[in-house]
Amino acid sequence: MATASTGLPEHHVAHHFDSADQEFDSVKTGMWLFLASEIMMFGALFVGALVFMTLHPAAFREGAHHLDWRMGAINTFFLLTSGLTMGLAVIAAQAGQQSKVRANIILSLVLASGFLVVKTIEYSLKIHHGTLPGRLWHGEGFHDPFVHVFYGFYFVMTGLHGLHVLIGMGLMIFALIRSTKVRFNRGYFTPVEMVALYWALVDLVWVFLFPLLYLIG
Amino acid sequence: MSNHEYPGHAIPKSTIVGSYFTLVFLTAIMVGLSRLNVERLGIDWIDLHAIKTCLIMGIALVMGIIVSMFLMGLRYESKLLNLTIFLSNFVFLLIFVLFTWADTSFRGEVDPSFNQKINYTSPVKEEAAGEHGAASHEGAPAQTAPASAGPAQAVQEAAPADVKTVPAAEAAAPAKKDAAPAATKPSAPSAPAAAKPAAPAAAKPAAPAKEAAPAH
Repeated sequence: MATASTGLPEHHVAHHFDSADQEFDSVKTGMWLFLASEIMMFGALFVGALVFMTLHPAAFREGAHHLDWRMGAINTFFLLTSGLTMGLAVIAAQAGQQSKVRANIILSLVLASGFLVVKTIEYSLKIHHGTLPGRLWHGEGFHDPFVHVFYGFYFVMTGLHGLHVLIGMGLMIFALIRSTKVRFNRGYFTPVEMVALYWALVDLVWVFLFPLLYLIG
Repeated sequence: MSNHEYPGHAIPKSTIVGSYFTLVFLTAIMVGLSRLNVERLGIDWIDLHAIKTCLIMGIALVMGIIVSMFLMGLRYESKLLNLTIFLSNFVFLLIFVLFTWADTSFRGEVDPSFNQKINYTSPVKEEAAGEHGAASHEGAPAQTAPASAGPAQAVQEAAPADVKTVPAAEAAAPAKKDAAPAATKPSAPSAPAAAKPAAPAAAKPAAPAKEAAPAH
């Protein structure tokens, strides 16, 4: 509240909307439809992995055993905590606490970077060991002839998820910039809310990816 | 519906923080459960491994529900939005999963030829294999040369590269007699040029392979 009087301009409802409420609802509905399409996209990959798992349980198990669950657990912690900070950023935005919004978003950005650092370490280890999908495979010490398919799923699913993390970080930077341009309050907090929603989707996908790839098998 | 004074919903801080700690707690349980060595319990009349898998995925589902209900705020949304999301996503996904599963799980039950004609070359080398180890499979269910018969037999065949004939599908999933159609497609390019002359070599001495491991 103290920071609300920083002289930032108030948001004006676009002329084609009747009210702030209507504006927010239409943005949110659009966002949810987009999120639904994202879930469908990841859903297709999950179904593929599920089919592979039922057809070749041994290959799946062997592949999963070569992933480091500790790294996955650290990354889960990073994502869940950044989800919390984004949630807190929305609450701060509704209360008009501009600096608190920024602090929470920056914290989320740091945690998201931590996620990507761990992922990079993981990927470089996999590349070093040659556990790559398809014709790129040159891993040794594996038994199942289908184990490289597991790594195909691993790289495509975590890669696509990692891309979402990267995009999410870009959106956080957008919300950060927005917080220096317009005053958030109970009537206008749309950018922070939408970025938080997107980030929650990134969380949601990881919540299923982590056990599927690292824990079962 | 949202109230008409202010847009959206003010999700209480306690809800957000509470969901976070619940999620962290559930993650810990999930990881702990996966570390549990069920084989050591010595119970064999029930598939503990399958139960463990179901429990882990069940916890993941609960976590997913918490994320979508409280962090994404579906709990506070209008019925119309929830219905749209539910129908367009979860029901459709369910149909997707069920139909795909029904398709791939019972292949070959009606037409057994579905399980044959597999020409699969895996890039995965056997542990003891040499430089160009590759598993090639001609799909004849009769020839069963399991991985154990690998290196010695490969040398005997005197192929330029020690290519072994492995009925890949059976070696991978002994429980399932159906081969994986999804994975059988041309991952063949993985066979390097050196393996090419090996392919016919592996095809011909199918007879010694049969000797090594009699057909079932």
